[in-house]
Amino acid sequence: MNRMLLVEDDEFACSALRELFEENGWQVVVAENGIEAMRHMTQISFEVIVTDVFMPEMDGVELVRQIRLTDKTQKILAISGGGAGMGSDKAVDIIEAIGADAALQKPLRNEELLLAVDRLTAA
Amino acid sequence: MIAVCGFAFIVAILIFCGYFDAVSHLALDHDNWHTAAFCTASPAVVASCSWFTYRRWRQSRRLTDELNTAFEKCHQMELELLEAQRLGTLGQLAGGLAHEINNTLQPVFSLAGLCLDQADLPDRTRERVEKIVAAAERGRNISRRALIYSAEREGDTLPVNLSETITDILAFLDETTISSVRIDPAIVPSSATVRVQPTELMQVLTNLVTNSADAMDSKGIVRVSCDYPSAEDDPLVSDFPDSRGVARISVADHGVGMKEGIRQRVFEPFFSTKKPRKGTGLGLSIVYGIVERWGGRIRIDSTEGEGTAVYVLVPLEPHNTTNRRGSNE
Repeated sequence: MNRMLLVEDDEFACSALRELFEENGWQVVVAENGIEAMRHMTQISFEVIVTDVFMPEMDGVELVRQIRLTDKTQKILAISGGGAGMGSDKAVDIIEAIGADAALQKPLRNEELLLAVDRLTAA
Repeated sequence: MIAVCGFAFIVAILIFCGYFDAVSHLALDHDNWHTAAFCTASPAVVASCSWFTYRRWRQSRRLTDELNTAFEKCHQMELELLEAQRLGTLGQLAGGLAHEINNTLQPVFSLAGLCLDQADLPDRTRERVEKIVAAAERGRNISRRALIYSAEREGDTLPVNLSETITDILAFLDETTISSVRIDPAIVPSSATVRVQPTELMQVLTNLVTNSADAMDSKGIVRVSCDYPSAEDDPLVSDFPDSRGVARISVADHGVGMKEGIRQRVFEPFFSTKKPRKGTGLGLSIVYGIVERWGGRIRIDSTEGEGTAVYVLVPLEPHNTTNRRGSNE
């Protein structure tokens, strides 16, 4: 079974996305922020990481930066709702520049999200 | 007033000189050489002193005018700074709010989508869930447009596709302005770009559309258009270098219009014809400042009782060559 790490601090978004991916054949491990995600990554390997951008403690930008220090091939999809003083487009640009393989703006329809994950894992 | 004072001054000098001339002749007649010499020299001394005093007075007046102009400019800059701070805060707020809305909508999309994936979903339930998705879609569009406000305000200007950005901004304004005012867009599609800050473009359109809505007592149609005129279409185009095309944004209403005297003053800060608390009188002066920064021009056509049209002309990016219909050549 394909294993995915879902990093999302919003409780409702996290549970809905988890359900969506599990319904579509993914084994989903959930992390609330970058620190928790890094902890999971030391124990398990994941085919893809889907991460939010704005999160407390360690945000998605820092998470991607940390991962890329040691792993250049890990598939990473960033999804951002935008943040105070920063439009979503800008957040998406930044995280792609840092090293995410793809970045999309929330909210996303299921087909958009699943297609992005499929493309990433097929590549 | 100055002419009258000057005339009086010259007459006084002449009378004065005449008096000394008469005394000098009298002294000569009585062989009083000292008095005669004094009386002959005095008018020249008095005239020199007067001329010197007059010049100093003119100089001090010029300096006072320059000082007043500098004060006015300083005051204007202070107002713009305050407005920029206010909009910066608004941008932060809009960005934060959009983030929350987007995150809230994500589970709506995901879970509604999963419901719709069920083949055995009753038709009536399916219709209801489809309506939930449609409503969420509307929320997503509003939130994305609101994010235009939250872009960095201190950043440099960017090459912006005018027709696409204006279309987005108008859709947002149409959603957020009161329902009794409808925005009628006439945007010529084009890939031409202008160098502006998107937030400033939004501010210009918001201020102009708000003014139009107020001029129509918040009832009617505001026509917003964007085209690419030649010098024959619009005389202001000749103010721009030949090699660069020009984009023209216009916002027109059929409201109360303006008298010529008012039209000439509308760009002054704090000048307002609106009722108290309806307007600050800063809207058009801010629009003027922004358009100046873009290297653009602004013109107002208005007829009392018929309506007002504001035209903003902006130079295109140098690599753009756009024909009158807006398609790239």
